[in-house]
Amino acid sequence: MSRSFALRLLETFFRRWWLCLLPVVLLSGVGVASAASAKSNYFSHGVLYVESQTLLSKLTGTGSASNNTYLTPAQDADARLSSLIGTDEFIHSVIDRSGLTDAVNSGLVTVDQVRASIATSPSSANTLRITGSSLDPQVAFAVAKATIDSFIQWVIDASLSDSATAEKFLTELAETYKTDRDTTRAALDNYITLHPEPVIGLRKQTEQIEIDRLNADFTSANSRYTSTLSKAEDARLESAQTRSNVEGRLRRVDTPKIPTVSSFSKMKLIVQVAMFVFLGLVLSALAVFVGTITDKTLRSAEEVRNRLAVPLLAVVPESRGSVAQRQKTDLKAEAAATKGRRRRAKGDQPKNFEDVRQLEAQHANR
Amino acid sequence: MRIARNKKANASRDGALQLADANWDIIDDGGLRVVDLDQRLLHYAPVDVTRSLRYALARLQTSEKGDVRPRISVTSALSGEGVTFISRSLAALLANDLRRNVCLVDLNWWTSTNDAKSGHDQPERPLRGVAQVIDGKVSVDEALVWTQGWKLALLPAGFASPAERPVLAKAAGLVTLLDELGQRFDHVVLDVPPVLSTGEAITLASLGESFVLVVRQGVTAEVQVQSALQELRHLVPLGVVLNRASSRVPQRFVHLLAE
Repeated sequence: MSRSFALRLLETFFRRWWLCLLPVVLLSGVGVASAASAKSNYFSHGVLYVESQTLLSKLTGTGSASNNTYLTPAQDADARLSSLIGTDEFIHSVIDRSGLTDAVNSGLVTVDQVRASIATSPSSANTLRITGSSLDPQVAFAVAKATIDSFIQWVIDASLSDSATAEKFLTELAETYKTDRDTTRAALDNYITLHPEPVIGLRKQTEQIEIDRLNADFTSANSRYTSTLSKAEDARLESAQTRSNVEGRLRRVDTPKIPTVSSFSKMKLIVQVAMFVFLGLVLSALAVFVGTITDKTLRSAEEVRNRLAVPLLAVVPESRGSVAQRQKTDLKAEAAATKGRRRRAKGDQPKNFEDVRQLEAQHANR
Repeated sequence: MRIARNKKANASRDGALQLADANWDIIDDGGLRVVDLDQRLLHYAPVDVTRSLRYALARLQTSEKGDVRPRISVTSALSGEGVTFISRSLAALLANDLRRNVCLVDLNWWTSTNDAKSGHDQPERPLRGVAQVIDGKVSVDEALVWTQGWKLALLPAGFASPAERPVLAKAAGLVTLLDELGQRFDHVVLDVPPVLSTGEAITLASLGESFVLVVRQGVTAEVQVQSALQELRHLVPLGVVLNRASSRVPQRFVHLLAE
């Protein structure tokens, strides 16, 4: 930075220092006001350990948490939890779990305030930090805990949805098949009861044919029922595996605790005010810089010498007195002027400097 | 009209100055005052202004010709830069310091102070001047405003309507008038209107052998000054006077940067 430019910067600043310092004053005021209005907030933290695959999922071939290999498990979980917090269903689940339903219904707390009180951040590749904040330490704890519980439950529900559906369907189907089997069994037993085997000789051929038919019906129904039961059991096993897998992938490392210390500290307030002051200084510096580079006028003798191709004759300083001011204030001079005008009215108009001297000599002799 | 410097210098002068001495206690602060025969203060240059302009005078004296040129135009790029103040102060210094016969010719018919019907609260200016001399309505002697005891005379611009001004600027009578003044006075200082404001300013500035460009600090853009210099490139530039210069930067910062 040249000396000339540095001087221009200083000149711009000192000419309107009050205007240049206005951002500093205003932002400092904002900083102090925000510090004065700061309330003590309580934070409750919980940490989840997140894995993309468990040993069970590897062995059983059940799905991993994410197929995105660019994100760490914690980042992936953070993204999912953040998007969930934005949904009404999830946030209402948190509200219900944290016991804030009445407060929300009565309008003491809004849904958005609950939403804003939850913060998540990956603290390492596999750990996700979940924070609940509130003016009340109990609420902060409840929100953090409810968020973790709701998230785990949501992941489980999402993972179990297929197997649970299959399990439900197969169970219902098995009930139907059981009824069919019981019906055919009852029909067979009933027929045998009504047509007992003869003591001597063989059954009639028609009876034997009917018994065979009823027996075949029962066998078929029993086979369907047994198969469906087996499939339902498989579905239950799948659910159990998935549940175990999810629980293995999402584990509570640190359970949220009721905070005992608030976030209110003098150091934080000082830092906050200092940041505002610093921002004001940056804006002021920017204003001075912009003011300097947009000022295309000539400000110093050095600039005249460097920028113009003509010599600098003189630098005339700002003069405080002017002719008009002096004429207004100089009453004695005005009185003398009136006197002089009376004299000059007689026709003493000089024609050269000699005339002037003679005229003055005449006046002096009088 | 008279020019006074300070009390001590004034005390050594001849008796012809005693009339003016009567007003010394009123407005003496070491600056130069121009007082007409009615003892009316027409121009005042504070001591710091005269001190600065003495540097200009010294530079003009040490120029290539070895002396101050007989006819100098004082102009600027834009109006309000202080051409009238500088030209009057320069003429007063020439008369006072070099003891030369000096005539300050006001050729600026464009300033509102010259317009008798403007109604502005401006110092009263004579309606007789260059315009009337060129028209033959008054003689040069009638139009000249003389100083008391010193060697400075002032020829006002006189009243000229907007339609007359371009005609006056190009009139042959103006050249004749300046030639006549050149024979009667050692130096003729021309107060010329701003170059970028009036088309006739270049013509009027060309009536001088050389020119001084007045630039007001912190007001006139460099590009405007360059444009004015470009317009006057056919004339000999004596130099630039940086007018109304002031700095708010504390001296300790200036010294710090100098190191």
